[in-house]
Amino acid sequence: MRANAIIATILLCAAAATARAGDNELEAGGETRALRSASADALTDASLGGGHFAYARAFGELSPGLELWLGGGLDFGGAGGTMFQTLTTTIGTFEILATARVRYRLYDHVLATARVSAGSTRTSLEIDDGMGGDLSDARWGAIMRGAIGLDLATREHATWSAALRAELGYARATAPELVLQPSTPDDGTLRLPMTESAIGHLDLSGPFAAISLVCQF
Amino acid sequence: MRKQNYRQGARDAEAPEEQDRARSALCWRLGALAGALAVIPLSGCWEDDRPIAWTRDRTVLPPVAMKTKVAYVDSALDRVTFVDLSNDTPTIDARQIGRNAIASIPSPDRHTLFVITRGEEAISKGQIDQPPMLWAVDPADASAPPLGYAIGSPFDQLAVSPDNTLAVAYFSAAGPDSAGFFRNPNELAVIDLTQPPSDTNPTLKTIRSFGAVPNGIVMTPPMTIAGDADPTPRTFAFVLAENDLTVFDATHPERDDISIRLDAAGQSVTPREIVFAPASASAYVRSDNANDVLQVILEPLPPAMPDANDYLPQLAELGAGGGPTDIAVYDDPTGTRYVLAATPNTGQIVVIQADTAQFRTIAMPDPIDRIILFPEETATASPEKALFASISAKLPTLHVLDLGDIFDPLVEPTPRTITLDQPVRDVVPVPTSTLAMVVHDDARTVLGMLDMDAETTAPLLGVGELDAYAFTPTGSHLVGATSGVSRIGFVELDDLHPSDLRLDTAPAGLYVTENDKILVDHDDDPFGHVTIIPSPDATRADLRVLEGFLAANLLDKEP
Repeated sequence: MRANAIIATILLCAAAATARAGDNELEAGGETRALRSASADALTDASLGGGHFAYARAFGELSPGLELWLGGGLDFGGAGGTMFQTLTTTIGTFEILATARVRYRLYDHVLATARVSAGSTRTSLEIDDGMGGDLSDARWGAIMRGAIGLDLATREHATWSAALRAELGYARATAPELVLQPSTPDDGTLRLPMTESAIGHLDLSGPFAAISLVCQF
Repeated sequence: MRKQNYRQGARDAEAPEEQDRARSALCWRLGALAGALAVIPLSGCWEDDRPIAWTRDRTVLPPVAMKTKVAYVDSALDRVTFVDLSNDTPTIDARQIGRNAIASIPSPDRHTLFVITRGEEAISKGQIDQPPMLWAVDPADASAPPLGYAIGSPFDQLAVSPDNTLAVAYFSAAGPDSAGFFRNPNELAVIDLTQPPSDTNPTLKTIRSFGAVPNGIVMTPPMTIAGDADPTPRTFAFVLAENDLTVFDATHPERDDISIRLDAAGQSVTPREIVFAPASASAYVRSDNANDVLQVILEPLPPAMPDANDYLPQLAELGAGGGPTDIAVYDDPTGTRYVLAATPNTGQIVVIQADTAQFRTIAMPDPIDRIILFPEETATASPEKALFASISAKLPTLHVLDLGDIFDPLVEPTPRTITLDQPVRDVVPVPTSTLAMVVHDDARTVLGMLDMDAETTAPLLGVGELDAYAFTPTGSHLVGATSGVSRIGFVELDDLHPSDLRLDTAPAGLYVTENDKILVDHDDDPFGHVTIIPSPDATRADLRVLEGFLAANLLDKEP
């Protein structure tokens, strides 16, 4: 698996053109976020895996060589786990982010990059007891991300370019209070009034690592 | 190399701004290097260890109805969650207890909930070293933390004295589970509930055994031994085991226990029921395969040593003579205690005056094995009638006997017979009333309500099996449920008017609190799912469903 990733990285770098071929940038990739909060630990021992799509546009240079890019993107993630040996848990996230990024060329094919993102995140939780019982809830909250990384490119002066971007950062998300509710079929029956107890606040903050394919045109 | 030479030459000729740019680039490169180095410690803290608390086996012990609350004990979350039905709006409160709850037992008056926790050894992160504990939880006071007593062994049974001052923890025959290395089934922990935990509280002791293990412990009310030098009321514990009855002074648990052999080299004799006469420091024991009711009288004995027993049990077999199958005890309005024993082999009822051990027999036409007294005995009221049934024989007859002059030698007590259409499979008294529910079939679909005042019965047909039922504490209603049917049925016992309520989910159990509220447990949600019925007269619009209360704030809890 690791060998495949290395080969793919080399191929991507080989195929990549300049990292500054135009003012538009599309980015797609995957990421993993370490869930280190007590609330996340309650639900899973796995990291939050996911992917993202983003678009950015160059807005000139803040200082010589320091490019400013502004854009937005969508992130999604999920993690599964087991509680108390019998309960299957599924955590999901969906994020809508606005991003400001700066890049600086360190070497010919190596650029340093840093970004901050802010936006909304939808946190969902589903718990299945394996006997037909299914509880779930989803809430929106705010999220901020900060990351630093490197863009690896191979060629310059092309009309389009591709680069491999590796980032390390930290995501700080608000911890929404989740109230699990059973999935009940809407068969038209008038249901009794229900009082649900909140299971608590789910904090999905944590450090993350991302790797992306970046295209500029 | 060519590029490097070019850059070197260019640097020699570069303008001041070019030099600034070069310095800037150097700074960025150094910054990038520093960032890359920072990744190394960051990667070290990528993963954290998940506390083992979240991967423990979880068992929610069966709900326990307390006064106005229903308690759920969660073995993984180590907490007791109370659904409080005191007010119109149900509320939830939880108390933290020890690790791995294995048993929950209410006190006789349901004012205190006792929970036994097995504890654990700290062999993984998140575990703690904790011995087996008995926790006394006060449902009424949410601010009072549960009081924990280290009981030494993971007992799974508990006997509590009627006055809530002493408890004895012991093992069931099977034990709590397969964990552990050795288990001493005859070990007991005697806990003084009026004193805080200490090195001497609880007291561990092993009772003498002839090979059997306890199958029950019954505690006496406080009683004094007439003529004893110590006039302080004391509680005694009677340990029931096959062929063996053991007595010890629970108020002074350091004193020796006294064993009483019940078998006489014949069939094994298993004590089943025991009733007490505190005024005479006596106990009456009914045993399977015994010919008579055994009277155990505690008589004074000058102690041989300071910590020796100051009493000695004296035994007497009271002339039942036919293998008693049921006993009942009551005090008449003068305070005289009587014991009724059914002896189907002789076709008699034996009436024993408990304080004097005098007895008389009354002939019964059927082999009686169930005795129920009406009305229920209270501090101010004595039973006036006894109802006798033949459950094992499945006879369609019941018998009623007046208790008023049952021991008058000038009166010959004669039972009155009530003939029914169907055989009697069970008889259940209705609390605080003179009614009894008569069950005619195993599925509890054919019922009857017996009015002990008029001595008549009225049939009652159930549509489904009566899998769970309860009477309201005031005796106004019978509440019943059938597994798999999303309804709760009511019978108004004044006029036997039936009604029912549609629920959203099928019930699994129902619990009635002393304020006539009904909690229906659905047992379909690992985090709790109940329906609250505010009164037997409620309509569907009055019902309220509680969901997820066992996991309230679970994610905010540090394990």
